[in-house]
Amino acid sequence: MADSIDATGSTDEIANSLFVADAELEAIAARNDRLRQTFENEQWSGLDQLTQARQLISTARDQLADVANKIGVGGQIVREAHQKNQMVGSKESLGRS
Amino acid sequence: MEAIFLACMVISYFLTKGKVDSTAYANGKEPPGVAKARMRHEAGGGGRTASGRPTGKGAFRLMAASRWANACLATKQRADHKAARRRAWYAETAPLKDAEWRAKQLRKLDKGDGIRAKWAQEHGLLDLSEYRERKAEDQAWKENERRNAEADETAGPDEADTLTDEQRQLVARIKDAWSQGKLTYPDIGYDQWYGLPVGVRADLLKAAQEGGLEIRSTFDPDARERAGLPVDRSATEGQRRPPAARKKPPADAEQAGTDQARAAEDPAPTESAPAGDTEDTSTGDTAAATPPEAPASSTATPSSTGGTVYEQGAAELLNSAEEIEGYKHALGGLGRDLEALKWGEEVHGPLNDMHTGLASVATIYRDLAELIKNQGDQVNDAYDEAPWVPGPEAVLS
Repeated sequence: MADSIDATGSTDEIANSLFVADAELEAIAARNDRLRQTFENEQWSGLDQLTQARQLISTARDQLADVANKIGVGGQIVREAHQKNQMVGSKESLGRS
Repeated sequence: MEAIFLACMVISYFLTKGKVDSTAYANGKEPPGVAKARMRHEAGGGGRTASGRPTGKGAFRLMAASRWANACLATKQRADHKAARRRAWYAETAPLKDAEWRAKQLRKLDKGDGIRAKWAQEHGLLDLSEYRERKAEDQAWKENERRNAEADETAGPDEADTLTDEQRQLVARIKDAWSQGKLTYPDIGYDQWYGLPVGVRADLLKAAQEGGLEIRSTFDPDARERAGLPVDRSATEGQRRPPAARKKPPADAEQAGTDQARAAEDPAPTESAPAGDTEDTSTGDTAAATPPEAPASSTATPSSTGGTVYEQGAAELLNSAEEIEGYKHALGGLGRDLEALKWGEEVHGPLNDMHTGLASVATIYRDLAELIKNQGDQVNDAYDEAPWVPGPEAVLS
């Protein structure tokens, strides 16, 4: 899965691979929850870091979805604009660095 | 690369989304994906430009969800409208024509319906619950056939020639990585592994051994035998997991037990439905790994899925750690590449942040896995010496 994330595809492909990564992280988060529950049921203690890890994964997933949308949707917006206005050239000429 | 699994995951993700959203549209409600995105956008401030385009936190997500939802609806409406027009035309024209013409036109209409239904199915606009069952059944049948065929299989001299191009590439990649002692992300999938002829699999196992990787002694006994590796046929079920090559640990007698008890999670929960899908079959390994004085008298009761709860938990944490590290590496690489391609800070910034966050998660998982295993083992040893003690509640004040 991680193999499929590379910057050379189209923006849609990149966004797709990031959505897949998000789904994978969701599976890992679910596994985290299940493990925490199992150990709690068996009266294990000292596993608070699992909660912390779960939080970090949530944050990472949010960031991932955010980036996926930015690349996918943003890329599409700009692509459509360029396709409708074929004369336009470089980004710099529009006054943007 | 697990191209099949990747495609299935992407398809099942989008198919499910399409099913839910289309159902919602049919009921005249806002699809849940759009509703969720809209609520998030509102929770984050809910700004809009003069033309009504959402801005601010959650804007992109809302736009993406809306685009998808609109596409679903538009396609469904277009197709249904066209079919309805044709049926109406047929109803008008049919009374004037003979039976043969009517039969022919009806056939065309039904064929069109079938094609549309198939198209809709491929694009996730229909209810697919039956489809899913059939797929699992088909896979189960294929799996049984494959197992029967393998039981009868004799070694063929031209095994390598029977590979497809895709398989050849996969084998080359895996062999390349394993012979250098490198792990592949992700591991080769179960279907892909057993899709290869036994001679090719033996070849890959030999490459792994040369690279210093360790593969469970109970995995794929036929291929191991063919490769001349020690074979342990004590596992009762056919292995349900990919080979899960693991790097050899630093020479440490206690560590050998840890590694043999690790099992890779097959990352295809929706795919593997064939009979006998067990969680973990490393019971044989665990038993072989405990010290010589307690093979038969070990009172550690494995859970029904094989392996003790704490060992399995530690193993799963380690697996998760490895997967997370894979993603950390991939996402960090993507961030760097995108930065080089002059994507803005808004894109490569979060990607690099994720690198740090995921690194922390992986460290937490690894540390916890070690603690769980070590502490669990120590207390297990204590119970070996005094198995009559009922539990911690009796001895802790």
